[in-house]
Amino acid sequence: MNVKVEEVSSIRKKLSFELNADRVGEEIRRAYGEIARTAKVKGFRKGKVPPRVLEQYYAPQMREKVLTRLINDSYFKALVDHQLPAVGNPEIIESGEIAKGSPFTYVAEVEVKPEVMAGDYTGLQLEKEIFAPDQELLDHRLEEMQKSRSSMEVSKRKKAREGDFVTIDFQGFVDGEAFEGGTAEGHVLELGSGSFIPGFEEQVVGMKRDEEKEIEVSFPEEYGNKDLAGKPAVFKVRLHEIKEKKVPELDDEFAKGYGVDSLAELKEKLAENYREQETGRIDSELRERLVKVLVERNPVDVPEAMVQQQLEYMLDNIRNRMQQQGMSLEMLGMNEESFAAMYRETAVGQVQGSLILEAIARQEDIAVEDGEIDGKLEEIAAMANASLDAVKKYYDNDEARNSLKSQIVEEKTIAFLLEKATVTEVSKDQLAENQPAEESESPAEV
Amino acid sequence: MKPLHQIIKRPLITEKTSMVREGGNVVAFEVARTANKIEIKQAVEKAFDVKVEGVNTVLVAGKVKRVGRNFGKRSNWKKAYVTLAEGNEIDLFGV
Repeated sequence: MNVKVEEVSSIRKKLSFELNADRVGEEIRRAYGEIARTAKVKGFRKGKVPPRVLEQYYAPQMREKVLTRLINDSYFKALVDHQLPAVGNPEIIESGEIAKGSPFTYVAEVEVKPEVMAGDYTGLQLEKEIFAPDQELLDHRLEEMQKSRSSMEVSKRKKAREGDFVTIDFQGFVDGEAFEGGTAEGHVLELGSGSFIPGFEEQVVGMKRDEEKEIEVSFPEEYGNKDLAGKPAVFKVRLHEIKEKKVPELDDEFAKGYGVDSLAELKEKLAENYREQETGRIDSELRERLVKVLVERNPVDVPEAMVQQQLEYMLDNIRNRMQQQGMSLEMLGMNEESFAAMYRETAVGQVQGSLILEAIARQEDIAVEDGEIDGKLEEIAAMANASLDAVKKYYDNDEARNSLKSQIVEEKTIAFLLEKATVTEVSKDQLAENQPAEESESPAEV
Repeated sequence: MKPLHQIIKRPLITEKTSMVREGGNVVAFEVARTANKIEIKQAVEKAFDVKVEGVNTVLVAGKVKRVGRNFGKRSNWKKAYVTLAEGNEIDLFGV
């Protein structure tokens, strides 16, 4: 076997192969041998077709077999021999004839992982957002919790008032005739919610239980149904029941419903959660900015195959997440193609980022020590609420372990870079000002 | 003489004919049922430009085939084994 490697670009290599005639002949014989076992030719029993006849009928199949066999063997051997970090599948751009007694030549091009030499990665200027507690937001959250705990109770009051939920029957007439959609029984209406035409709810206010009343309103001019818009209408309404919403008091009792002892504790916990969430977001944003700066300083060509891989990974990720929410990509009016088009840029950036980080890790000799893996496993176990053994079992194969390792290396590299960088802390508003063009957070951020 | 293709219908390539072919330079054809050995010899010599040493023929009885309750019979046909003189050869695949 004879292989010549040429460099097309930093991410593309051209491989020219020449395989000698003996090897080709042997493969041809082998291929025919395989075909003969199952070949069916009229006049011959299965497996009894002589080679001479076989060659007449099965030459194309033989060629295909020999081709894949030869290319598979030689191509992968060449990758190992020349230590090419290929990504994606090779593209055969030239291929000679396969014939007994003559050598076979072919030329393939393949994308390789570029060899990145990262430079200029110390002393980066970065801005980090300062965590600012947001009391308003916390209060709001507490209020929402309160609301979600509220319950409906039949009111003891006689008359309905705004904010009540009333059960009513109604029948609507326009010009003395009942119209379609104007009738309902047992309808629950929140007074003051504005879900009915203006004037209706206001007139229900003050009605008593089991009272019947005629309500006169007129449909607004811009009403959806053209036949009714602007017309006066009369509704015969009968009120059945008045219910009011009972919002629980904000006290220690309320807090107990959430597994803590006192309201103060609940508030603390909420604040803590919020802080964790925010610092997580701040860290990941800082990290994103760091990678962005690195990419700007170290332009890297990215093999298409890696971009595709990343896109696929992102797509999988988002699919899973959506499935958990009972949604699908299609519901957002997207399909795989539009997704790929939309997030291509992001994917390229991420691939560049990880290539550069990898290069830095190599240049700085950042590696994983055994203890770190165990530490990480414990962390994962704690986060996923799973037993350490289960987690260990999950990572007990090379692939998972390697990806875990590269994850740790990446984290360490980032920590290293942040240490070397000048990080200025700024407030959120300032940050937004300094980077007005910052892209809004996309759902695919991974 | 009749046109050649009315005498020689098609070459016959089967396990059996492949075997005799290897054994003694004999090729097999399906031929017209009315053709005799002399006609076959002349036809083969003319069509393939070879020298024929001898011809053996055999009448093959058509098989009786059945589809449901209907019986049918395939036509009888004639097979010819043509022995070629030494140094002559017919490539039946036309390569």
